Amino acid sequence: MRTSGSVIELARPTDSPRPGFDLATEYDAHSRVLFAFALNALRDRGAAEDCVQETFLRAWRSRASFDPDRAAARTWLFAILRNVVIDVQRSRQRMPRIVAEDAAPEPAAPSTEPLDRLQVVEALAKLSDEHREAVVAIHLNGESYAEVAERSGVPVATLRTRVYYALRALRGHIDFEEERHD
Amino acid sequence: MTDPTADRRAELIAAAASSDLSPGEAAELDALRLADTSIDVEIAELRAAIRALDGLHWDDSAPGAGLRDRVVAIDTAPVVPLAPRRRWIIGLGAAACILAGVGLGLGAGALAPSGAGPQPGAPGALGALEHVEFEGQSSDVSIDGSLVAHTWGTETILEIDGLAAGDSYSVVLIGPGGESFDSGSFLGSSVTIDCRMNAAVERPDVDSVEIRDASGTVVAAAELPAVES
Repeated sequence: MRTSGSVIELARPTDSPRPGFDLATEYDAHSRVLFAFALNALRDRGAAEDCVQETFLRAWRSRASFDPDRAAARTWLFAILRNVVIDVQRSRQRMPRIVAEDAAPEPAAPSTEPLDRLQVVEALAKLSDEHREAVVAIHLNGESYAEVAERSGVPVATLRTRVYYALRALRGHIDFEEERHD
Repeated sequence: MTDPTADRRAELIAAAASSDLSPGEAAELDALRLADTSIDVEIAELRAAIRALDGLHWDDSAPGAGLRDRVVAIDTAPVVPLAPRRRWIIGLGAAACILAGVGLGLGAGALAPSGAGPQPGAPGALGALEHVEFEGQSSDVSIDGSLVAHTWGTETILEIDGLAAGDSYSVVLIGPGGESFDSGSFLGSSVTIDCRMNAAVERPDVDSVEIRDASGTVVAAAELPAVES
């Protein structure tokens, strides 16, 4: 009944960049979760794609100094992307834009505590698909466990344990980031 | 091998955190609580995590197919592989400065390599370091400036000595029609200032860079070459 797989998708065979940091390999391994983080932090597909591209650009030009013994590739890429996203958010705050109403992107995530919110979005992006899907269904979309079980075919007990471990991982990520910033 | 007792405990705690327990499950959890006082702590922690999710919605869509092509093409960008010229500091934000001799303390050690950074390249080359010459500053002011073109804007990198300590200065990028793009501000210091700033304008749309004092007077400016299309 226990949830299968890792809660946080970090350890993969491709996680340590090989000499030369092959862009195609690293993109295929990490782009989806990186994009999810940027997209849900910025709520703008174009900006999110630009951020992911910028992240790989920074990683590529710093590849010689990256130490895979100090951080996994995904951790390293997330750290770069986090800074890129923060740059974009701050740039947006300084640069009011005038656009047609129907062309405006969705409002940015609530900005009362933008760094806290960014940590939560990053933590969600780092969850495995099955853990994130359970949390999103139950706690973001407001579905009941019974409704999700009916829709997905996953037993309620399994969904609950997935949510348990996902929320613990979220809590752990937020606590870690808070300690890192202290 | 999974532990059914631990799984049942996790299941009940998750359900309790979202008030999803049946009466029978509530009684079962109460019985567990008698022997395990950490359960209430865990429920409280999970509820705090749930509160952190308030107001979020999640878009799980994938990036466009063209993004992969753009990323894979990065290693063919026209960047000249010369030795890096300056220290590279990542993670300081849109208008971030440090003073020489002050520790970075960024926490992300893998992100603050000494000796890696953007390589010199042609004006407007994505990710390339473009040196710029500032003019007009007084003789006791030294400004070493560079730009980096990004997909989302233009980064200005400055190393400055000699500006009046404590006075406020701003960095402004000027477009071909004279329009201004704010890139951030900093305070003068008695020690070397190392700044990275970002403006929401693409490098081909920038004609010059100005450093202005608090009154708006230009204290130094750099004219930029046109970007070849």
